[in-house]
Amino acid sequence: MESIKRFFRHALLSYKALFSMLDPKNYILVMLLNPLTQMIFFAMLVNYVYGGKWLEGYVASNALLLCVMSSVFGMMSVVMSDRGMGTLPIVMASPVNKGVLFFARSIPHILNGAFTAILGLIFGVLIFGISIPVEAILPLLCIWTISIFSACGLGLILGSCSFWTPSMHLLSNILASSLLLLSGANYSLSVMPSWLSDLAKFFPLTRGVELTKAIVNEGDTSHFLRLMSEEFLLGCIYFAISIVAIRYAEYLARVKGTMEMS
Amino acid sequence: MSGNLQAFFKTIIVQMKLSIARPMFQFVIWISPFFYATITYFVYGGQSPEKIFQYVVLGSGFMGLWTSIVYSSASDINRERYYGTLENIFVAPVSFSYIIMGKIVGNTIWGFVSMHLSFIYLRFVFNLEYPMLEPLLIVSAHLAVVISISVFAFVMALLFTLSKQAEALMNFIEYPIFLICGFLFPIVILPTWLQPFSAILPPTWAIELLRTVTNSASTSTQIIQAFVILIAITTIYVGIAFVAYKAVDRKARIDGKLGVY
Repeated sequence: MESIKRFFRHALLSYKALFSMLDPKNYILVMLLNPLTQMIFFAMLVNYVYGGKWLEGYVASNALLLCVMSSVFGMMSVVMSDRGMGTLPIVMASPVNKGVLFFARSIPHILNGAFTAILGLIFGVLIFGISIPVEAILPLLCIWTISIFSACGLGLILGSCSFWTPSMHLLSNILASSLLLLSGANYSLSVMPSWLSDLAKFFPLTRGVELTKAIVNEGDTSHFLRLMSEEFLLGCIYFAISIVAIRYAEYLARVKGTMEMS
Repeated sequence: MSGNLQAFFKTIIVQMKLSIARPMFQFVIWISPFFYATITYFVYGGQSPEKIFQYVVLGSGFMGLWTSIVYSSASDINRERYYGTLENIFVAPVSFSYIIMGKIVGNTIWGFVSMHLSFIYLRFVFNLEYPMLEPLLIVSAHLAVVISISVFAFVMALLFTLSKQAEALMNFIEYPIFLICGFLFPIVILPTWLQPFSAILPPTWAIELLRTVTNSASTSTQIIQAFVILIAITTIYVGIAFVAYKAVDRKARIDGKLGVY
């Protein structure tokens, strides 16, 4: 019981200490207003280009995409903030299981991503006057939680690079832009070249966006189980890889002496 | 050449070297134009060639330009504050405004590199047809756009000088400008209450000028009108920049908190 309590206590403390919750103005500007304006921008764009066709699906998909702020930039901070403050070597030298430690640190970002996405959807509904069927809400919550879990797994793999490279802003922005491009939130995957849409299948959020559009636009849940199982499996694989990546990155940081370099 | 002007030109060169050494700015200049252009092309793929040129080529190119301003000029003040050099620059014998303007022009030149990378990428990867352009007209329009965007960035940089939330603001202002200034769609589709905000922002008229001079259907009256509007709004912003500079200078000296991070 004590270990479970410690798991959640660490999740909460690390989030408070390493992220912008310490400064509410920063949090509102970066984690809420910035994603919301991104969602409104893309929703306005697709509304104009497609003449309002399937707007509900595009708004909901763009709302889901808002989790990128948490799953990429938030997850990056899980390692990078400690490094910036010079506490990373202490964390890594502690006897605690690193897999459990970093998974605990991921939990608030999964929840924060879901919160931002839900808020985005509420704003989208209010601003564009669209309606989301009540029966779609529960499947959407399930899809979004699994998709964000998966995206956070990939974000943690990226976070592991914080151990040895000072170019995290470059890498994190490439990943965030790739998710926006490959998810198909603003167009059908069929407009992409086949090699790009094949590549998209290995990225998180692609299946989440596909299901979100299908459920919101047509109430179609026929692919729900298959796509969500795949997405969950993808997320588990990402987290498993991230544990290995962190161990390897830690080794590299020790060898290169870059753990404290910010 | 006077000391201030020499410092201005030297700052442009130093700033261009410093900016491009930052990984984030490397992403903004070398990589983000490809993402913007590709995403916009996928959205607009089935539209007419004119619409694709106006909104995909010019729009995504301008997104790259604006992003470079946001992650450089708007945040340079904050960066100097973080390094602890802001106060030194502020009290140097060379006017602070020349240094800031030099930084902004240096960053805007990089922004134009990013914009033209996007043009080249779309032309050769997606085989887009570009209209025949009058060289003198397009060079004049580019010059007007550089000056206008630089003046606007100067006003923003001054406002950020006083803010302790400059980094958060920097992250926030990217998409609102994409949205309000109609980079990827006409501003008439925005809610009526939002359109006056579009009208008072120079980027709206800067991209409008580029759209007008590259549209073969534009009459000479429309082209002159587009130039006049951009020059007029830029002149107003020069006035705002002058007043804001005096106010920021005075407040910074009275409060003595310029370097407080």
